[in-house]
Amino acid sequence: MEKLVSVIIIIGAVFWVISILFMGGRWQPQMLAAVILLFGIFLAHFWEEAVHKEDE
Amino acid sequence: MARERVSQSDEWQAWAQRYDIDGGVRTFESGLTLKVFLGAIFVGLLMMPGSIYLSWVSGGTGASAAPWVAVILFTELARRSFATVRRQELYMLLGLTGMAVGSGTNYRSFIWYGYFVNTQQAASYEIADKIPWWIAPARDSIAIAERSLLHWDWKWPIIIFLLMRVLSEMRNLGAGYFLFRLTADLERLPFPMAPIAAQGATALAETTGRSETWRWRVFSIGSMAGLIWGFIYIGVPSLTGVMMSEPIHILKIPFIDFTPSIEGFAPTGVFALATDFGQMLPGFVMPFPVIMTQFVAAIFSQFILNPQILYRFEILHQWRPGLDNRGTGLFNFLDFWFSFGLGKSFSFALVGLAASLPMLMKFRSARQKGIGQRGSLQPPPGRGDFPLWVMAGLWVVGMGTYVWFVHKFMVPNFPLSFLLGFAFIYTPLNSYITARTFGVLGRDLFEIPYLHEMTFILSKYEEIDIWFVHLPDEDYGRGTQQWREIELTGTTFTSMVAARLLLTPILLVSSIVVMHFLWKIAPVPSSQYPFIQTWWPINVTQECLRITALRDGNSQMLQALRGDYVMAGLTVSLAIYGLLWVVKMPSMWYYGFVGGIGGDPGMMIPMVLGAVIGRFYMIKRYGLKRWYMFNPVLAAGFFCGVGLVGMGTVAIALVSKAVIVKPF
Repeated sequence: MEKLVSVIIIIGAVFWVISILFMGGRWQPQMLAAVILLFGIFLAHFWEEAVHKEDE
Repeated sequence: MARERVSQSDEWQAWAQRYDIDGGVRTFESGLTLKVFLGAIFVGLLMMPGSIYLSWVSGGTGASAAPWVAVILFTELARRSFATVRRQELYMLLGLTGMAVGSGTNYRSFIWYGYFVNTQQAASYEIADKIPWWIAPARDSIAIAERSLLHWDWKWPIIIFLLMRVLSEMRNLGAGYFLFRLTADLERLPFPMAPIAAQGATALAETTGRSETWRWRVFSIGSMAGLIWGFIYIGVPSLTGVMMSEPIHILKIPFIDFTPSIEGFAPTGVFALATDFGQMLPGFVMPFPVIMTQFVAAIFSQFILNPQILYRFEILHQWRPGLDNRGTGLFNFLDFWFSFGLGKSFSFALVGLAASLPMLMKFRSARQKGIGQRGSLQPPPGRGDFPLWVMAGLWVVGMGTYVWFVHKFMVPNFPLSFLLGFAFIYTPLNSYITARTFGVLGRDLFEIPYLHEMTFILSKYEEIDIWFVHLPDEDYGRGTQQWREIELTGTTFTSMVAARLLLTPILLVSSIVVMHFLWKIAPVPSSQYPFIQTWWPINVTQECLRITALRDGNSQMLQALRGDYVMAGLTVSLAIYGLLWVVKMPSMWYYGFVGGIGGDPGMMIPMVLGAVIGRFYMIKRYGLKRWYMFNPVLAAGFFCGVGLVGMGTVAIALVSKAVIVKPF
């Protein structure tokens, strides 16, 4: 799960760079990148609180 | 060896414990006693007229030093009476005296508008006859002609003011407490600046005991340092300004601007060295990772990002060579950093939700968790807590009533959707962001400037009266730190609330009487009050310009807002947070980076110096635990010393202006 979250976040960050370099920096692709990142961050915290703590 | 992941909950928990130098173990007692209440009223009411008078004469008020004067007086009286004073009583005295002295501003707007309605500027801009009935009587009113606040013509402004005040207290109390429970109890954010006030009160309380403690020694060292620094930084310019045409500045106030010097290799970069080295004290207190990452982000912004990327790609396009830091900063702000900063602020809120939602969803287990554990909503026993639903309800009722009143009686034609949007969307979001930034950075992050102007343009409302309405765009986040201070001193919340409820009516009555008598002494403004005689005519013109600037629907701020830059701010901030999580770095770094990006590194140098000295010398010399015990007390003493010098020099300057006649 930790690896999956990391991959999602890295995809979001890379997509943002792509949106700036190759899509003219328009707000729509940036927003999509933000949504991906946000999804990854929420997942990361849910994993930390709900799963990681129980494992500990 | 692979880096071990430290969850954000453990990271915050560790910092919160570091800043809680009592180790989280405290008993709560009421700070409200008869002697404290009477002491606060006596000192506060004694100093309130002087504070108002000083502000009208010289611009300074001495209000920051007044609570410390009261507390020092109190402790000295207690020592000579062989009585002891509890820290809860001293902290209560600090708060109530500050409230009493500060109440002098309650009715200041009445005097201001009493002057405003009869100015030439108000008449020429066609505003004078449009001042609403809830602000001031008509310009030909006898109350204004006779300079009397205790006149029947002021009844509606006074009634509306009192009603708004009651609703405001409800909102501030309810929302401030709710946010405190969320950020301090549930998330266990560290609130690094909160111990300063708490430890100052504790240090002074211990002087009334039998033996001298380390707190008093450290507080004394801090206050002597503050007196010396205050004399150099504030005292010398103030005193020499009285006797000479040009005051002597040992250090230029408030900064030395190097922006034109760096434009050769960093065009559009800003660098102004702050000269208030008193800021080293917060550098001792704040978390080291936050300060350093903030500084690195600011250096990166001004020396690489602005000149090499944003300027090259003409994103920063209004800058011209030769501009100082204010001009450069303003153009950069309008071109890019205003929009980027908005996005940054949203990321704070979203990251905060991501951190707290999982805990809220485990609400049942949150209620079962132990006191003091992150994710626990169990308050410590005896703290005097209130039911969360009561406080939330208090805020909803206060805000709802306020919006209803404004819509029904004040500006019925202004779109209700905007009022509701401000009240129930913008305000909670903004307050939550601020509460979290105070919880981590000890300061506010970002204010949206010209928000009202943008709103009025978007609403297409053209009446003047909207400018005189207090829109429901409030920020309760700052008050969250105060609740943490109350907790750290072991003062019950119920006693603090009771004290405010008892004192507020007394202050509301006494402050109007004081203001009435000061107005009776002489017209305001007049030669009796030289500071406002200088500035109020200019302020009237600025206010008239501000009110009428949107008559043709223009707003510089609205034109500066760009969606792609807002998204850039949001996405970059989220990416920083996410990538730090991926590489298992502390989340403190995120707050430092995002707090510092776009900032001026020169303004941070005193804090960085303090952080470096604290981390690499003080902690090595005294040990981590002792240093974290010392530095809030040191900072409290320091700011007390600076405040006393400030008040002293203002008083000397005032007396000198009354007796010294310059020969030329």
